[in-house]
Amino acid sequence: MNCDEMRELVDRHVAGTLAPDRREAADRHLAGCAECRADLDAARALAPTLAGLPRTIEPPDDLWPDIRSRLSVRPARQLSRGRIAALALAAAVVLMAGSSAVTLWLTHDHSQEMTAAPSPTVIEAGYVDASAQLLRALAAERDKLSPATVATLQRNLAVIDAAIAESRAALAADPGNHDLAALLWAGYRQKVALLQQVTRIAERT
Amino acid sequence: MRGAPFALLLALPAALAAQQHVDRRFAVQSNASIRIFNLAGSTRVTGWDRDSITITGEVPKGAGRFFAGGSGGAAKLGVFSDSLDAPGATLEIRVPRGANVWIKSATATVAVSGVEGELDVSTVSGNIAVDGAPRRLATEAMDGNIDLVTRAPFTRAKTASGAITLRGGGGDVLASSVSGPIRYLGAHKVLTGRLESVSGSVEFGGTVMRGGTLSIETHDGSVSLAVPNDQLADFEVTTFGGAVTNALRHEVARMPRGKPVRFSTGPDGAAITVRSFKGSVSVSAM
Repeated sequence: MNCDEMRELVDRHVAGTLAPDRREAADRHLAGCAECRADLDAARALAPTLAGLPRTIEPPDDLWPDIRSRLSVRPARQLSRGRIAALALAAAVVLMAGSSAVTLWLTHDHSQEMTAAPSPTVIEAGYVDASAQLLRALAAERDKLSPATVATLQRNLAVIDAAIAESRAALAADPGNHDLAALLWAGYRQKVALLQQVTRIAERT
Repeated sequence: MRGAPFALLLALPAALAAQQHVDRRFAVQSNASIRIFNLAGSTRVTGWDRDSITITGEVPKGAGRFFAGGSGGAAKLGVFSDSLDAPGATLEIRVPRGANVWIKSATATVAVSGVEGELDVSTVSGNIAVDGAPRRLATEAMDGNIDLVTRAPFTRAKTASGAITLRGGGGDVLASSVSGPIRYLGAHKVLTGRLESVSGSVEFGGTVMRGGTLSIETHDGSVSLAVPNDQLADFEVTTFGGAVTNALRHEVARMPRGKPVRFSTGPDGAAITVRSFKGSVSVSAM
């Protein structure tokens, strides 16, 4: 087994869903490869975060009206810089956990009975939660952003939300399609990354 | 008492003064960490073979307060303003070639060349241009364009609606955009590449190393993937609503929509994945 093959198996190794012979081969590789052991340790460190994600969620059909209203109204109370940083950090953790969960879901053999891969709704919950946290932070910092930046954010969030809606509808019609799932998660990843970026801009203004 | 008026003059904020001409220089270590702020106007940073920083430029009235300080391993400089509408300052900065440089801007354009340490550039709407071989390169803009001509082994470029153009490239590359186009024209081999957009077009022209990976994901941007005729790789191409053309030698020319098409140009090569929801995909030889 080489490092590339091992990287594919890390999440399943942590979840304990590897077949015995694959597990044995992975352990043999790990015994001689410090880099892959480090990857495995990092994935293990994320496991509690993944386990803490809610098991089910009903994502709203369209978050955009909420986003627009949050961004167009100046909040009564501003969040502290530390609170914003904490929200951004929490969102980053969810993003990392979501990314790992996506990898686990995409690489998991769904035909097998023994399953530890998170469901798509759980993964979506992480991203929706991260987006909501960042939107709260941004709403509190609205007056630190120029109108042009807010307009750019709104325009691009609309693009992302439209893409997410299309991917989600397609995935609902074909739930086992890994490529559709990957595209849906990519949309969420872009959304959280964009919100993180604008949060950073607000923080340093 | 005689010194009092002079002290008062020194205490006057630069913002109240007329245009300020800047000409400062001081010594730092060759690998110093240097933080540069200039919200509006332009910032040009050039790496040179001296262990010192020089700053020249013009700070117009109302642009903010110019500051430069530091020594040894760290320095901080720039124009500090509380206003998003302040007029732009023009700064020309020379830094040690091996310095780690961190630049923040809002609308100011940023141009960097010759820096070989770590380089982190962030703007909102200002354009970013980097030329050189930083050890690690991270660039980020909202709707500013990012234009990189680099041999950095590790490159990150992110925009919301700006255009990203990478020439040279190679190593570990991530380019991400929401609605802006991404162009990768690689003169150096990619080890790990990820190009992703939502609606922006994605163009890749380059080589992926043996054992390397390239992933292209877009929702409805068009994808143009061109690799050399001798590129060894396992390809997986999926699009759900877009047209697909494949002009690679001895490979499938017809690709069904919504189903991944896998083909290989040879064993022990790279892994290249393209996913698109409804953008057109074109695969060809360079």
